[in-house]
Amino acid sequence: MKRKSILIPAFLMMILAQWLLPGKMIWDNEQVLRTGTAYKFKIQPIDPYDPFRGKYIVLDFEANRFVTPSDQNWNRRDAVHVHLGTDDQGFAKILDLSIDPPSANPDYVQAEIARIRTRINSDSSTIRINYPFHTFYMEESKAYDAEVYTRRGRLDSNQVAYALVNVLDGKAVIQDVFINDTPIREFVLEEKKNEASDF
Amino acid sequence: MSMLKELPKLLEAGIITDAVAADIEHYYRQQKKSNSNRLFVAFGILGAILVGLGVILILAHNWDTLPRITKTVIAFLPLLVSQGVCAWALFKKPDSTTWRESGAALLFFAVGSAIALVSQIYNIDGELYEFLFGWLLLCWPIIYVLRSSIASLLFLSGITYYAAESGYWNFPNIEPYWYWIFLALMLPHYYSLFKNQPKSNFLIFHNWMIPLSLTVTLGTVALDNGDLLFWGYMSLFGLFYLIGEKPFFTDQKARNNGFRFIGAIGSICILLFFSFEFYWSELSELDGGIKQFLSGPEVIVTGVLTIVALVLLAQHYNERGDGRIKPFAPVFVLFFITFVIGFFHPIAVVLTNLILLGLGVSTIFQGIKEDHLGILNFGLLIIAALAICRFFDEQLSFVLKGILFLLVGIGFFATNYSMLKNRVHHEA
Repeated sequence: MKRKSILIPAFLMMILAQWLLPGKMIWDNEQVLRTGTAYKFKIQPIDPYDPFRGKYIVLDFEANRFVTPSDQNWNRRDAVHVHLGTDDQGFAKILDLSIDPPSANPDYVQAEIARIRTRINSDSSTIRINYPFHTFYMEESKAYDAEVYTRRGRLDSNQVAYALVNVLDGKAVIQDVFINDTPIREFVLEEKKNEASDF
Repeated sequence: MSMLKELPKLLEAGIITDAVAADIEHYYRQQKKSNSNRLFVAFGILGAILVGLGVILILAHNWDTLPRITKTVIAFLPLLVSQGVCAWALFKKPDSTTWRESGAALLFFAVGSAIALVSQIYNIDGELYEFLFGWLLLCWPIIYVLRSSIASLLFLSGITYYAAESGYWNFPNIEPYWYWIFLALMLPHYYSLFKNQPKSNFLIFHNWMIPLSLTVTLGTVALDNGDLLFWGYMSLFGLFYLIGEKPFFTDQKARNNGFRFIGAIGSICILLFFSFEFYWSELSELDGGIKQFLSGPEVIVTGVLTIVALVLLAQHYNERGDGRIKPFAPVFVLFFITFVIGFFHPIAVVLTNLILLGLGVSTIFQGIKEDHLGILNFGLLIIAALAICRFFDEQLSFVLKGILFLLVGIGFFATNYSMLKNRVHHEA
C-alpha cells in the first residue's frame, strides 16, 4: 500500500513531464507561426538524412553575410542577434548585428557566428551567420528531387527559391519552402508529372 | 525432459521410489514453466521494441499531405497508447513482468518518437546530442516507476550514445558530464537487481553493458592529456577484473561475467599496443616529460580509478592469499610502474613484453593447476598474440621471429597433450 501511495503520484508526474517537453516545443513554435512576422529568405539547399527525424534538406541562405568594421570584437561561435529587414525585392536582409536584443527593431533572430573573414589592409570584416533554422523536413521520396530542382534553379535566373520564415522575439520557425511562389512539395510533384509526360 | 523419460526405467529397476519419482517429475515441470515464462517476457519485450522502432520509422516518413495540427495529434498517439499500456501494467497487472517490461520498452520509444516528430513538424533545428539528452531525461523515471530492467538497458545504451556523440563527435565543444550523472541515476536499479534477482538474465546483461559503456565513454574525459588515459584505461580494466573476481561473479558461469572478461581482454589489448617500440620512444622524447601530464581532468579520473582498483586489489589479496592471487589482478600496477619508467628510458617496451609473457605463462600455470583447458588455452593465446605482434615488429630478425613461433606452437601442442593425457590417466 505504501508503494502504491508513492507510485500513483510518481507515475502521474512522469506522464506529465513526458507531455510537457513536446507540448512546450509545440506552444513556442505555434506562437511564432501565428503572431510572428514572415520573412522570405533566398536559399540554396543540400540533401542529407537524419535517422530519427526523416529526410530533410539543409538550407543555406543568401542573406547570411554581413560586413562590419573590423575593430568590433566578434569571435567564431559567439551568440549574436541578427536585425532583419527586407530588400527592394521583398527578400530578407541583415540590417545589423548586436550582442544584446535590439530595442528599436522588433524583428530579429538569435543566431551564431560561423566565420569571420578580414582581408589584409582592410578596415572591415565579413561575418558569416549560422541561422537556427536551416533544416526543412520533407517526405523521403521528394527530398532528393527537391534538392535537384532547386540546384537547377540556381542556374536559371528566372527561378527563385526561398524559405518563408516567421520571426518573433528572436525565435524563428520555417513555415514552408517555395520555388517561384509554389510550395516545394507541389513544385516537385508538378516537375515529376511534366518529366513523365515529356518521356 | 530426457530425465522424465528415464523415470519409468528407474522405477522398474527399483533405483528410486514412487515418491522420489513424483518429486523429480514435479521439479522438472516447474523448470519448464519458468523457462516458458522467461521466453514469453523476452518475446514480449522484443515485440514491443520492434513495434516502437517501426512507429518511429513510419512516422519519420512525413505525411506532408496532412495539416500541421493533425500531424501533431498523430505524434502524441504512440505516447498516449504506451502510457495507457504502462498504467494497465502498473495497476492491473503489477506482478506481470511481461506487461511491465513490454510497456516500458514501448514507452521508451514513444517518448523519443514524440519529440522527434514534433521537431520534424516544426522544422526545429538542434544537435543530435541535445535530442538524446531530452529523450533520456524523460525516460529515466520509467526505470523506477515501472521497475523495468529493459528500460534500464535501453537507458544505458542511450547515455553511451549520448556521451560518444557529444564527447567524441562534438569534441572539444561539448563535455558529456551528464553521462556520469545519468549513470549514477541508473545504478540504484542495478543494485536492486543485484540484491533481489541475483540469477536474473537482466542482471547478466547489465554485467556486460555497464563495463562496455564505461569502456566506450572513458575517452570522452580527455582534454589536453589524452595519452594519460591509457593508464586510466588500464586501471579501469584492472578494476573490472577485480570486480569480476568477487565471489558473487566467480560463482556464475564464465560467459555471465562481463566484468572479468572485459577487464582481461582490455588489459591485454593495451599491453599489446604498448609492446611496440614506437609509442615509448615518442613518450620519452616529450619536452615536458611526466610533468605535463599532472594536470587536467585526465589526472583526476585516472587517480580515482587507480585508487579504487588498489583498494579492490588489497581485498583480493586478503581474501585469497599470496599463492592464489590471479595473474591479471596486479597487471595495472605493473603497467603504472612501466608507464613512469617510459618517460625516462625506452626499456619500458621490454618490460611491457615481459609483463605480457609473464601474464601468458602464469595463466597457463593457472589452467594446469585448476585443470581447466579454457584457461590454459587462454594463456597460450596471450603468448600467441604476443608472438604475432612481434612477427609484424620490424625491430626483430626473421630468425628470431621463426624461433618464437616454433616455441609457441610446440607449447600449444605439449601443454594440451599433457593435460589431456593426465585427465585420461586420472579417469582410468
